[in-house]
Order: sequence, then C-alpha cells, then structure tokens
Amino acid sequence: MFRSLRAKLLAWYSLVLLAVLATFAAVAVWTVWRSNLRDVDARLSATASRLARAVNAEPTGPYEVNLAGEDLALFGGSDEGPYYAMWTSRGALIDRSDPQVDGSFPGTPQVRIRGGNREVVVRGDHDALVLVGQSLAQLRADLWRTILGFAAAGGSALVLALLGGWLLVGRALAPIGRIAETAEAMSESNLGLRVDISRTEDELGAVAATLNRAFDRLQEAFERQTRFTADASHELRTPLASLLAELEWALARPWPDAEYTKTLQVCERAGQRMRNVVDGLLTLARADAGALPSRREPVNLTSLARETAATAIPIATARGISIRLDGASATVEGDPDRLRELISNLVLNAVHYSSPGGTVRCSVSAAGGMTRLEVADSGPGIDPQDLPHIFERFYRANKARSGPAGGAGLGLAISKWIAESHGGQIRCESTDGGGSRFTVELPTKH
Amino acid sequence: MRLLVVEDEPDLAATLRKALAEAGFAVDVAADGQDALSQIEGVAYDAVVLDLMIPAIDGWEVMRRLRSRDNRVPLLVLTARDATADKVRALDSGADDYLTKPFTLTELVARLRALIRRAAGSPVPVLCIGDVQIETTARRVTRAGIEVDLAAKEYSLLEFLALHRGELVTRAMLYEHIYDDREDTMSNVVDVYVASLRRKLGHTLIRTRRGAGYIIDV
Repeated sequence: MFRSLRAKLLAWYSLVLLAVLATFAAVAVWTVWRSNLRDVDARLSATASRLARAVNAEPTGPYEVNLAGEDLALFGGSDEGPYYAMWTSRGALIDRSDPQVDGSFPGTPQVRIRGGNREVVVRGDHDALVLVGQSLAQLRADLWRTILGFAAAGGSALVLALLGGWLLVGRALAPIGRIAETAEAMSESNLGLRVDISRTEDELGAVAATLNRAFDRLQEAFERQTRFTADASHELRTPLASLLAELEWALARPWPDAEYTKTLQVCERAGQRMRNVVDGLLTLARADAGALPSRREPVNLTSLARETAATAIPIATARGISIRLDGASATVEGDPDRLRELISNLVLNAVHYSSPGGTVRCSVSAAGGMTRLEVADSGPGIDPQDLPHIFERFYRANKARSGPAGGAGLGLAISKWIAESHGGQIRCESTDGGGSRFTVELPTKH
Repeated sequence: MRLLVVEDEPDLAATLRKALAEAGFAVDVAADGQDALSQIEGVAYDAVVLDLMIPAIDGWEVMRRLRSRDNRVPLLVLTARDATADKVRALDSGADDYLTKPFTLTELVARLRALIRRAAGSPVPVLCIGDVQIETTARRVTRAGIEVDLAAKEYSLLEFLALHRGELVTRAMLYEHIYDDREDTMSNVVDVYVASLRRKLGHTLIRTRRGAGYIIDV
C-alpha cells in the first residue's frame, strides 16, 4: 500500500509537471515562430515596397522595371533565397525573378503562406501588383531546433524532478512506514508498543498521536478484560477448591455419618457460591449484549422496597442492626424482579457494612418526574480512593471487609446496570467514617 | 510437624485443618494476614500454607514482612490466582512453593513433606538411624526390617527428632511441633512417648540430656 502510494503520488506529480512543461514549451515555441515570421514579413514588405517603386510604366509602352544593384544581388541567389513577381493591374505578368516562380495572378495585396513559402503582395505604382516571397525552410529548421532544445531541457528537468520527488515523497511517507511497522508488531504480548512521535510534528505526527491514543484505549480495554477474567476465575476457583478438597477428604476413608453431613453442607455452600458467581456473570453478559429488562410494567417502588427490606430483617437482626423504611408511594415502570434485585443488593450491602447496633435507612421519594430511592448505612464509609471504583466488577473496597456472604463482588455492577437499563442512574456518596448513601433515580410512571 | 494454614474461606480452612491433621500434621489456622503474622511470631512452625487474597494484610505483604525479619519458615502459597506473573511475584517475594486452587490434598501433603524435608536439610524421604528406618511418606517405621506399630504422636515425635539428628531438642520444642493450639497436653506426655519409643525401638536410639531435652546422635 505504502509503495503504491509513493508511486501514485509520483505519477500524478510527473503528469502535472509534464503538462506545465509542455504548455510552457508550446507558448515559447509559438512566440518564437511568430516573432521570426514578423521579421520575415517586415523584410519582405520593405523589399516589395522598393520593388513597387522600381516599376515604371510608359503611357503607351510596356512596363519597365529598373532594379537597383542591391536588389539584383538579392534575387540572384539560390533556390532558398527570395524571389519576386509583378503583374499589371489587369493581371498580365510583367516580370519575375526566376522563370520557376509561379506566375498566377494573386488579385489583391495580401500576406500568405503558399507551398511552404511566405509571400507578401503589395500594390505599386500604376496599380501594378508586386509579390515578394521567401522559402520558410530555414525558419522551420530553426523552429525544430528550438523544439528539440526545449524537449531536451524539459526531459532533464522532468528526470531531476522525478528523482527529487521520489526522495521527498519517501521522506514524507517514512512516518507512515513506522506507524505501519508498529501497528504490525503490536500483539497480545506487547500491547505497550507505541509509535515514536518525537520526530514528527506535522499532520502525520498528529495521526500517530491519535493512533497512540487508540492503542492506549485498546490496551486499557484488554487489561480490564484480562483482569475481569482473572477475577471471575478466582471467584469460581475458590469455592471449587473448597468443594473438591472436602470431597477428597471425605472419600479418602470411611467416616462417621455426622462427618458426611458436614461434608454435604460444605459442598452445598460451595455450590451456592458458584451459582451466585455464575448468575452474576450471566446477568452482566446479558447487560454487555445490550439486553433490556424483559418486562415493562408499573411497579410500586415503595411496596417493593418494603417487601425487600422485610426479607433482609432476619439477617439484620442477627447482626443487631435495624432497618427503617419511610417514604411516599411512587410508581416506576420496569421489571419487578430486576428492581427487587437492585433494592436487595443495596439493602444487604448496607446491612453488611453497618456496625452492630447501627441503622439502615431506606427511603423513597418522588420529585421532578424522577423517583428517588435512598439506602444509607451507618457503617465506616468508603475510602475516597475506592469510591470511583465501587461499581466496577469484582472491585472490593478494602479486602479486609469482604462482601456479604456469598457475594461475588458483582452486586453493585449489576445494580448499576439495572438502574441504567431502566433509564435511571445510581450514585454513591460516602464520608470515611460517616456511612455511605446509595441513591437510585428512576423516571416516575404517571 | 506443625503447620499454620492461612485461609479466610472458613469452609476451606476447616477442610484443610482436618485433612492435614489426618496426614499427621498439627495444624493451626489463621483467617487473615495480621493474625498469621502474630501466630508465626509466637510458634516455630515447620511450614505455612498461605492464601494470597486474605484480609487485613495480603499474602505478598505477609511474605515480605516475614522474609525481611529473616524468618525462614517454609512457605507454600495456595491460591486461586493462576497467572504466571502472580506465581513469579510470589516466589520472588519469598514463597518456597506455589499451588493453585483447585488442588488435590495428596499433592498438597506431598509438597508440604518435601518442603519440610528440604528445610531440615535432608532431601531423602527415608531416614535411616542404625537398624531403624523411617519412611516419612507412608509414616511407617521398621526395625531390622520388621514394621513397628507406633501411635500417631509417637511417630511425629520420632520424625521430628530424626529430622534434627545431632541437635538437642527440648521438650518445649517437641510440644510446639507435635501439638496444635487446640490440643490440651499434660506436662509429662513427651516423656511418656519417649519411654514408649525406647521400648519399641531400643534404648540407645534416643538419648536424654538431663534437664535439657533429647537427642538422636548422628
């Protein structure tokens, strides 16, 4: 592609150059030809005027031509040299320089080219017509020499220009080669490669910089994907390890029945945890595929929040945490199962992160066409440097506080998708030590 | 041999505890990095099984701190992270071995035995002392080719003394290495085991250094 671009550029370039040179040469040659012809005409006219004055007519007798010596010398020369002819006003030939000169009567004074000769016809004394002509062979030969000269000079100029053009285009296109090489060399294992833009500050430098930024985004996306895969793998391997190790232990030799019961409980918990991870991953895979909630129906968010909070009460009570719910009735449109999942994620998170004896406040309000659900906890809050990342998949703020039991670190990522796929949004405010508040805003259904 | 298992997953920690105990180890469990460091500080473990993704202080930091304090306890990393970069980082941080989850218990036990052997400077799995042979893989002892039946703790005590041949081993060390932190022991139980071992394997095998402890001569 690069080589053909260089050749293409050069082809166009030489075509334009050729046209310019040819036009220039044509104009120049034409000008020279005109100028030489004017000189010839002037000479012929002068000679013709002289000859015209040399014609004497007797009133009764024949015409008489008295040529001066210089004119005799002029017309005595070779075939190439000038010639003349004279006629009476009635067209009778009076005289000519050579018997071979065409004697046919020209009729009127004129300037013409006839049979490769330039001829000037003037009217002299006594209405005689005087023709003086000259062969243009010499002039033509001069013209051809000029044309050849121009062709030689133009050809050399073209060759030099092509050579220079080839080098210049090569230099100008070299960065494209470098860009292509870099892009070619990029692969999964060296995503860090970038086009060197230190030496190019022109348009190609801008292209390279744009490409480098695209590479940055590509690398970032790739690394995010790699991290996600590693995290998903970690979340699945951990319960799988527990399950397999427990089974290996149980099968190593016979145990009392009570031990088998414990083994089955361990296996059940591991299986449930794996199911949670797989469910979460499937939900997010659907979210990535751009799936929308399968159902769209009016949902009373207040009753849904009340029901969902009620299911969290046993867990909260066990941890010495109370859940308070208040708010006006508000209806939104959407998938009740998904919205329940959203509320449940937020409430269980709040219960999990609250300190014992704390309170989880849940409220629903409607204003300005939006319905707002707030879930606030009285926990230690979220570290400001974790806050921008909490909605990312598998992100765990502070590893010391692992998520709710069985959570795979996907709950908030899923909640964010649910809120957004319902045309709403979710955000979190938190002060370190002062609890966290999650706010979901959804369009109110009228 | 006494192990510390550092694992925050309660089910897996429980499984490891009972499975490793079944393999003849005395096993303690720590659920986070902070806990692990303080336990390793207090007990001379024969090996530590360490998960990397643990709360409070992560596994890499635990290894870094241990090694910077010149603690040479054999460390086996047991983790779900299977990327080559993670393995390299862990081994370069001071881990002696690396096993990814899911794993098989038999492999874990074999790796731990190998780690403990190497740390004791004896890569051979069979220890020979006179006519007594100790097969550490099968936990079997023979005297002049005849198998000798030993209780689990008797075996552990004999193995520890044999791995430290030529070194004086105090009673406190024996208690520390053959019992985990959940077992109650009577103060003279080690002497009882030694007496029993002498009955079964001959009186010259284990010598008493009065007031100090026991030794098996080279």
